[in-house]
Amino acid sequence: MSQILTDVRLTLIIAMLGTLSACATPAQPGHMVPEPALFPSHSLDSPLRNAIAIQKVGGGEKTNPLLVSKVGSNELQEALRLSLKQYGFLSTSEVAAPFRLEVFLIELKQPGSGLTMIVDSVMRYKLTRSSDDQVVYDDIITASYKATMDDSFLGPQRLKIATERSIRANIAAFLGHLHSLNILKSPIQ
Amino acid sequence: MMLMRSLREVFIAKRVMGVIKVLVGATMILIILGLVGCARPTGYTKASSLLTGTTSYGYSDKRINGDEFSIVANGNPLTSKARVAEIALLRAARLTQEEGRTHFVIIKQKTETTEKTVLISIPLLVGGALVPVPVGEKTTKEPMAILLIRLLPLQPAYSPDALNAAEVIEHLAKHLE
Repeated sequence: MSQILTDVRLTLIIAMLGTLSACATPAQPGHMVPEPALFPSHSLDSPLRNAIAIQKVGGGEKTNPLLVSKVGSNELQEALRLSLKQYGFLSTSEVAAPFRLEVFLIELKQPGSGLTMIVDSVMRYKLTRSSDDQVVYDDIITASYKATMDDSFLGPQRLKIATERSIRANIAAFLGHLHSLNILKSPIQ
Repeated sequence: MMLMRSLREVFIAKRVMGVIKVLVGATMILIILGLVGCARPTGYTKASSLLTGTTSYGYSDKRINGDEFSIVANGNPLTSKARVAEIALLRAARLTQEEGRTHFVIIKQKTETTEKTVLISIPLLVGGALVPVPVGEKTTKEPMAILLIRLLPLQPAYSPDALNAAEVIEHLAKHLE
């Protein structure tokens, strides 16, 4: 009888340790930044060069360690800042920036379980010209990432990878739109 | 004395096995009930992620700022894109009324088809109990509708794009609820 109780205790301790080691952690900003040189560097005379300040980022969700990895607004803002900086869009001044960017995480569709995990992210990007408050870009971008057992054997980790890369793909799509955006720095007088 | 102790341990072990079998059986019944419950298109229901933290079918909404809201409706594979768009629109109308307003405008709308992988399991008899054993995966397609709306003040200036929340509810509630 005592042997059975010992075995039960041991099993419970192992299960608890396993649960603790699998605690969910929030998405990391650095993991949500698109790869460098994904697009050709834009021309030096582009009105968006060093011209965008991040005004507001919302819609993120804090991660409950007992549930699954989420994307917080602060982490998303940092990922956006790093991405804009990497591609030469980020303004050095937040106050005097010619363009203001607002980003909202509308939806993060995550699976409950599975071997292959697909995460879809839906984000709204709104770019406003500071000089006349005209909205020069306002769109909803959806992106997804499929994480497989090749990415990680651990389910929570696989979900975190899928989440981070879905956001990364979303930001990359927005940067692609910025590269092809034809706008003026100031309104025509 | 030793014989009594052994018999007691065997008795306890049998009881534990019995409890495990009941739990596995109950789980199987819940899974089957869940599958039966999914065998119809998604209706007007709030998506809940309290237990798992992950996405479920139905609508959800977030305040973007001031009078702007985002609404998302996720449908199961049996749901059409048109239906999730209607669920999102009905939620927009109800949200407008909950906020004490009568009219709203749609700023942006989008419908998407997303993919989801589902484990294929077959029940195998292991130690006298049915245990679901995964044998593969299949990919299903699910519709998603996204709406961005702005609530209008109670006495709105005429706007050709304004939608009357009460009229939207009257038109959609009957076949979605």
